[in-house]
This record gives sequence, C-alpha cells and structure tokens, in this order.
Amino acid sequence: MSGRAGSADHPANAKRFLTDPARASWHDQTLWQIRQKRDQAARAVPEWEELRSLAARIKQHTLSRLPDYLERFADNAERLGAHVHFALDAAEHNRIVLGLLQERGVTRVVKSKSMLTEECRLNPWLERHGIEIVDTDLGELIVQLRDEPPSHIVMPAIHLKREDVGALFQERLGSDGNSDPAALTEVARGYLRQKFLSAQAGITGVNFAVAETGGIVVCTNEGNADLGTSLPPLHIACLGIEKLVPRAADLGVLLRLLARSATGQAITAYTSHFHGPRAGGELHIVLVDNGRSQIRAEQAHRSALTCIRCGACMNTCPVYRRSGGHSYGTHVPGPIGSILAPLYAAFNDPAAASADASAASRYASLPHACTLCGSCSQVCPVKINLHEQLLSLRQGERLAHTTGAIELDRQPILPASRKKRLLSALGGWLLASARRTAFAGAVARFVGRHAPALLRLGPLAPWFATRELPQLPARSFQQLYRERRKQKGGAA
Amino acid sequence: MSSRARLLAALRSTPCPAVDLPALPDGFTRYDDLQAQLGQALEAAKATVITLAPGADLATTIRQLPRVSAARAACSLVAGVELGPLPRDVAECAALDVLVFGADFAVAENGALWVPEPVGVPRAALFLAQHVVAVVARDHLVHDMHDAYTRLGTSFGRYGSFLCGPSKTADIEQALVIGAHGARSMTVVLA
Repeated sequence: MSGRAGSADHPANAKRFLTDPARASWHDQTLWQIRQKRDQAARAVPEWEELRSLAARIKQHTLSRLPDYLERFADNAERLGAHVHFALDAAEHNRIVLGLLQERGVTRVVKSKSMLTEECRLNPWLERHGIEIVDTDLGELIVQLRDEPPSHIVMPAIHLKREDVGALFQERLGSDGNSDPAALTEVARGYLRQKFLSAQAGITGVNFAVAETGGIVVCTNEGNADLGTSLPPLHIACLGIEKLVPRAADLGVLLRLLARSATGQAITAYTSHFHGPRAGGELHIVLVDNGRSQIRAEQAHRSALTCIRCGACMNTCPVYRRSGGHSYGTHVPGPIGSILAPLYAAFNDPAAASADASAASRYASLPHACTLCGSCSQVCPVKINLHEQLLSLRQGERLAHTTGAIELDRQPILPASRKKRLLSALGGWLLASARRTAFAGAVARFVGRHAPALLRLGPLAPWFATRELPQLPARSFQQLYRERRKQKGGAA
Repeated sequence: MSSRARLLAALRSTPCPAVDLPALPDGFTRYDDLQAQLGQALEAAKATVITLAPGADLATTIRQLPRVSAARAACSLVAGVELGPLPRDVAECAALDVLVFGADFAVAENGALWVPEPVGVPRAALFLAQHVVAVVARDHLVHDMHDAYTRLGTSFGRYGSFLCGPSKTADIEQALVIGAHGARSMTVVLA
C-alpha cells in the first residue's frame, strides 16, 4: 500500500537521509547520471529548445481554454463508447472508482503507474473495502510490498539497493534471496503475470488525453499498462484535468520531449493509444479536479499545471539528489512537488472551510528545500519557471484570487514561522541604526574571539552544523578606517 | 448540478489570458538514410534489426530466425508467413513463445513501430508472447514523430501503440533488465 504520506518536515527528514553518507552519495550520483542521460538525448535533437517552447505554448493554450477542451474530449470519448466521469475532488474520484468496481463484483485489480491515484490515496481506500489492488510497475510493486510511498515519480524505488529488493522478494514473494536485478525482475514477471491473468479490472493513469479524438495515451517501458488493460474486461483510466492536449499532432511534440527528459530514452517501449473500449470490454475515464481549477486561477502558478510528470526537475535538483523523495512527505516530490503540495493543500483541505488556511503550512519547509540554483527550470520540458515560483512561495506570497467562502487571499499561503518573524523583526531593528549595528558587531567580534562556543547555541546553531567560524578581527572596518584616517592627519 | 457542470462552470468563471495554439511544423530533422537511423535507434532500444536481402523470401527468413526455429509455439499474423495455429484464447496467448506481426510504419528518429490492434488474436497476444518479431516495409519509414502523427491523422482505431524494442525496466538500481512483463526480445525485419 503506497500513498501514505510521511512527515513533510524536509530538514528533519533530510538529516535522517544523510546519516548514511555512502548511501546518500550513491543516491546523488545515480540521479545525476540520469540527468546526464537526459542531456545526451537532448543534445541529439537540434530543435530541442524549439520543442520546449512549442510544448509550453501547447499546454498553456490548453489551460486557457480548458473547459472547451474538456467538453470536446468527453464528447469524443463517449462517441467512441467510453464512459467519462468528472470528480471534483479526491474523495469523489475514490467513490467513483469504488462504485465501478463494486457494481461489477470486482475484487482483484491491477494498476499501472498513476500519480493521480497516489494523490487521491486510492489504494488504501480500495483495500479498506476489501479489494486487492496490485501495483504492476516494478518500482511501484517494490514500494507497495515495503508499504512505503514511491520516492520518485518515474523511478519509485530509486532509493533502494538490489540487496534491499532481494531481501524483500525473499520475504514477501518467496524467492531465494538472489539480489541480481535480472533475477529479481524475473521473479516479479512471474508473480505479476498471474495477477494480470486473474485480474478483473485494470486501472491506469493517463499521460495525455486528446480532445480532438477522445483518445488517451499511456506510456510505459514494461508493458504493464497494456497487459493490465488487454486482459481484464474493465479499464479505468484516471487523470487530472490538466492532462489534456488539443490535437493528436501535439503528441508529436510532447512525446519527443517526455522520455528524453525522464530517462534519456528517445521513446518508451510502449506508447499506447486507447480510443474507446476494447471489443467486449468497458473503458471508464475519470477526470479529476482536486484543486487544479483553483491553481489554474492563480496567475503566478498556472504554469505548474503544464507539468508532464517527467521527473527531470528531480533528477537535477541538488537538494532532491541529496535528500531523497521521502524527505518531502508528498506524492510528487522535488521542485514541482514543492510548488504543488502547498497549493493543493491550501485549496483542498476540508478544514480550510473554517478559514484555517494553515493546511498548506504542513508543507512550509518544502519551498525552502531549494538552493534557487534554477537547474530545474533549465531542464523542464515545458519551461515552467520552477525556481521563481519556489522563491515567491518562500516570500510569503498571497493567493491572488478569492475562493468563495475561503478568505485565503488575506493570508500568505505559507506564513513565516513565529521564530522567523521575530528574527526578521530583530534584525530589522538592529540594522536600522548605525550605532546598534556597530554595537552588535562589537559584541559578536568579542564573543567570536573569546567564547566562540556561545555562538553555536541559540538561533544560529543550525548554521554551525556544517560550517566553521572564520577568524574574526579585533576591530571593525569602521574602526580601522578612522584610525588610518587619523594617522594620515585627515578628519575621522 | 452534476460535477461535470460544476467543474465547467468553475473553470469558465475564472478566465485565463489567451495563449495561441502554435502551428506545428511539418517535421524537423530529415535523415539522409532512414534505414540506418532506424537501425541505430532500434539497437539503442535493444531490438535486433534484420534487413531482408533482395530476393530473399520473408517467410523463410522468419522461420530461420533462431527464436522462431527453436519455438514450441509460434504464430504469425503476417500474410504469407505461416507458422503455428493462431491462439484462440488468452491461455494460448500466454503459451506463445513467438508472435510475428506487422507494423504499419516505423519512425526513424526513435525506432518506434506503429502497431495497430491485431486481427484474429486477442490484443493481449502482443504482450503475452515471450518474444516478438515485427515486420515493417522499408518504404514505410518516416523521419520523426511529427511525420508519424501526420500519417496517422485521426484514424487510430480502438488501439494502436508505438512499440520500441522489447519490454524493459531499470527500476532496480538503474540496472537495465530486458524483458520486464512484456516481450523478452524484439526482432524487427525490414522487408
């Protein structure tokens, strides 16, 4: 069962991650290598930057006319024999999916990768209702068996070593403890084949939904989405409303960017287009809002909805690489996750109806889990200005639009902590006066020279965790300047 | 009010600034040698590529492929190539060692083969067969994905997939393993 969110206290989680420096370094290097593969693939496409610009405009245009495209998609999909459902929030999505399964007496479900179903916490919901749901992407199967959330949206088990998987499969699947990846994949192949053959329904995510044709596109390397939908009679496809594209031809642009950005491959092994149900089968498509319509109304953050879930921002982010996906406590970690999590929380928390907008504050540390290096924005295939959005969230940005009864526009999405507000106020008071500044400097120099250990206590303590104090001078620049001017005979 | 109506109303009540839908180019890179580019792309995707020699017989060439000649259960959906009996149900699909099928066209830039819904066997045969052999005509090659979608237009049938190489995963320590849940190998015959 994946989808259980851990704490979103990034600094505390990252500190734990770093207690094993060898493993942290291995994680860092592994992800950087994937970034390098992406670079190689991008360099082999001379028109790469033009593709990024086209993709950004296609997705932004789609958002600007989203209601029209949603209607067109639904009408076309229904004409082809699919059933289209709309869910305003995660709870409604889960009820719809459960209803479809229960109506048909389904108790065995296979699922291919869907970050949306993670967001809605579908797996635990179905399991509570007595339905077996098996994640069939190998990485997702591994984390499901370990009862932990995925740590990356494309490579869910990237935080694990082969020995971890070997021990896991021995314990949970009865294998012999061999930790060779090929042998382990073979074990999973056999185990999952039985699940595919006996499943009564297959749930998939959707990479792209085409308004012009009513079709949906699902990309995998393993073929698990195809197995999961060509065997059982019921296919349920779940997607956020932002996954639409206007024309089939737009797929040409987006598919050229997606796999190259994600793993450095020119294309995934399977890029499957579903137009209506299989002969003798059913296709149900569930389109989910869950805060997206609100994020779309925020000028500064609308572009975050153009994300095509490639994971390139995570692979390049120095903080993600050295802290791991579990440090974020969200279903989508890394730079894009640190923007979406506080926004989704601000718009979706049921408690927000009581004007308590602190739901987002659970994620307050995430935009600070960032060096503002901007590497994420450089690699994003749809040119989201990730680092700028992270900065504005850190700066106490206020939501720009009202959301009915919720007066979120009066408060910052992520209010600064009391400690931070006090320190900022103190700093402002000190620095507003030359004499107070000079006095504070003299105290700091005295303590730093004669009792430096004192500086390591108090609010500056975390700063000293990885830094040494430089040798502090006996006198300030102003004092030296005055003395030398006097020596030269000039005025002070 | 249905959720559909409520959602569409909410979206329409918050208009966004207009952004034009860009016109798409006819295509970008033009390869001098489509077959060579396709071959490279397929090899990068861990597929084996065989170009039919002039005058060679397709059926014989396929029958002589090591995986096909060693197979206990093999069948072909390609006209003129007869192997074993077609699987009638899922269980027989799952017992297939080799499935031979045709691709409508191939994309040189990335090695993708457009494979529509198979006729005469369950769709699942494409993924249950242990090994696959895909036959594509050498004059059915396009340069890039833009060409591919121009060629497809809006006729996708109920199902069609760009298949590129065998099933694969790198989910364990980024170690590439060929043959995750689908085909363990893909041989592409350029006819």
